[in-house]
Amino acid sequence: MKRKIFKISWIFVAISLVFSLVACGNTKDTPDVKQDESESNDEEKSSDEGKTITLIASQDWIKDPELELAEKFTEETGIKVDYQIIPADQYPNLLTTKLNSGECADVFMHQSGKFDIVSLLQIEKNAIDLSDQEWVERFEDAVKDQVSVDGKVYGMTIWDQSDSYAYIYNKAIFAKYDLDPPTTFDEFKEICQILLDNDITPIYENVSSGWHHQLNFFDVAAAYDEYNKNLVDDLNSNKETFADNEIFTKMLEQMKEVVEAGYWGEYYMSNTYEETASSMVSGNFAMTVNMMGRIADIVEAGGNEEDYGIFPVPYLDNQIISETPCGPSKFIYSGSENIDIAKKYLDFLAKSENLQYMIDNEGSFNSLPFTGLKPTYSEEMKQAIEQYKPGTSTVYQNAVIYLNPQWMEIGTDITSMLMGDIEPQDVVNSIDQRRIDQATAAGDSNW
Amino acid sequence: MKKNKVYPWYLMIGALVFYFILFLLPSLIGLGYSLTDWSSYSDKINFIGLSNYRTIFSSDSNYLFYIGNTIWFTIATTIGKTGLGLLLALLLKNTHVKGKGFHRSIVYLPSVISILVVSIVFKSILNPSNGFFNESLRALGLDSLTRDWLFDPSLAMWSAIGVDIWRGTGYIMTILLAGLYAINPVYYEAAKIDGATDWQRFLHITLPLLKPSLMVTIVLNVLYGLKVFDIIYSLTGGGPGRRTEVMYTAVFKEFSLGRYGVGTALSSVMFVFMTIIGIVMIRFITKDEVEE
Repeated sequence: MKRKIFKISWIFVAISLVFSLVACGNTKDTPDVKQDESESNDEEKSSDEGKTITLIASQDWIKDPELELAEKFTEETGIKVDYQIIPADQYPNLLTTKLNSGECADVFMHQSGKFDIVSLLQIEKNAIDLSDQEWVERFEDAVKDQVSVDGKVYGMTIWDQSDSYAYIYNKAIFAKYDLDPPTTFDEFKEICQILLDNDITPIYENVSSGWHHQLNFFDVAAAYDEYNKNLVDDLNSNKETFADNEIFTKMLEQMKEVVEAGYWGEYYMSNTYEETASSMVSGNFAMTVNMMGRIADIVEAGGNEEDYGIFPVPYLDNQIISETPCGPSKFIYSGSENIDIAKKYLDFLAKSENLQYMIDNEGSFNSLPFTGLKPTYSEEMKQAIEQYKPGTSTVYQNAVIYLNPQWMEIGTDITSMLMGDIEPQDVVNSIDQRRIDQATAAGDSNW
Repeated sequence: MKKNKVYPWYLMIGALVFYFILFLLPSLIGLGYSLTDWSSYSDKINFIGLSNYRTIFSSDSNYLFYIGNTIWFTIATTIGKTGLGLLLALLLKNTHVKGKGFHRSIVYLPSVISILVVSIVFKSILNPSNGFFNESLRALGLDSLTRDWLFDPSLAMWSAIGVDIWRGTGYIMTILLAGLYAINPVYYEAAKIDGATDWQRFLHITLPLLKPSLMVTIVLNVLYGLKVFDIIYSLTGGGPGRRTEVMYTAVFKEFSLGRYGVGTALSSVMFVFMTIIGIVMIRFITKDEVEE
């Protein structure tokens, strides 16, 4: 009996093998059938079919619609896209290690920034020139400038640059206590005090995330510009330092004043960025610093879109939301063996219909920096852009050289200042010292 | 069979080659890089002498504070884990305790859990707004005792030390328990006949004969404490500010900033520091071990 079962099993295995071989043979025949539909497309597909592009990116930089487009790209071309997503805190270290060891992915992502891509990435050596690509013509100039060196375009930025960090506030709470968005720092403090007196924590701020609370310091760029319109240029050419300009210590002192008055709440140190939306919906907090488009997150967490408004970061009486022309960008690694198909992929992503697909399907993208697209701004965002965003100032981390690479360190210094371990002057001294260190290491002739 | 047979020296070559390639060579290369300005900002690597070491040991440097934090963490966790481990070992060797096996397993369990898992769990437990710890205090009417355990500047390091002691005590207890079982019960019986009290027996029999096990646990704890990274990084990230920053979280951050030269110099300092401490402790152990 056992032998019989054994024989039958073997027959099944043999039949399966024959069928699978026939099936393999049939797949070879498939292009012939498709050839009738589109001969040239299939020739292209057959030459690249089965190849894989690797793409390395930090967490939160790749949105779901992009992954869906990658699948569509694979269907159309037969080229697979292998996304390698790395935790945000490890990414910069990992990427520079990969670039230095000559073993990077075909496409790597990094924050754009015309200074940083040279000093941090040595982009002219590590990425290829994309200036001759069709989509470059449609790429918005201000954003293109941040991925370019000496007129050559090295990267592609698919990120909403029309959005910027600002204060998002709960209109219902403001209306309840008859409050209006502040126009000066003193008004801001008065509003905070009224809210605190009514058992509402004025601001949801998160320090433990490490990257967020310093936004306050960087995003009042318009106030710094008003203080000295040449300050950015002078800082970039090392004619000025942060320590020599009292506006920076004044800004830090105002931050400290707000925190010491309890306007960030009792547990601001352990708050996390991930809980921002739910905290705002809870009604226990009235304001938070976030991208304007992130009102969508609050709505997703259960809030009503019409209940949330926007005003600029009000320290130093600032009334302007500064531009943020930089964002996560894609670069093709110069050592890649798949440069041509990587170019094809970027070209595919930059097709107008695909960019529009991303805008329409990603809540945090209301617009993308390419011409010919239809933005999806909310009424509140439209109004904020019209009222507060004249496009005259750029956030300091993008405007000033050797600042963005020390982002986390500045955050740590500000935390130490808020705890009383160091003074505002120490924070700006440290910023200057790190700028000297970076400039010296980079062999910057201005230092 | 010869008891003291001397094997030819060339039998060591294989092991020495591996030791040289996998341990000594990387350390020497690291030491070399620590004398350079190697960074992510430039292709070129220049020899800069002891400049990185001067940065580390300059009076206004944060690194001295990190060294202090590392030593403080090491001393506190070593005392905590060894003390508690000894107490639990004595308790769970006692013949009157029921379900000893079960209790030993429970105490040992935290040391087999991944440090990252421990950190995630404790971050949740110690969350000031809705964590189990503060909620329990509130339920008991002890609201005034609630704190931001991980991010209050004066408590953060203590919390990290507490979590590490919780995690590591079971392991230390197991080593000490093995040491206790190795002590010949005859000594206790003789002492009892001579009228020695429990305390006298502990002081004059248990402690001296447990010294080898105690020294092993102390060496393990000290070396672990000096190279601590994961529990601090995952629990507090070195914060708030720099209050819980230790040497290896600083090394990691230097590498993240692309300052590889300073990073390797810091690693080299720790390498030398740990080697010296290791040698001193091993000499101390082997010097006056009590023989039964």
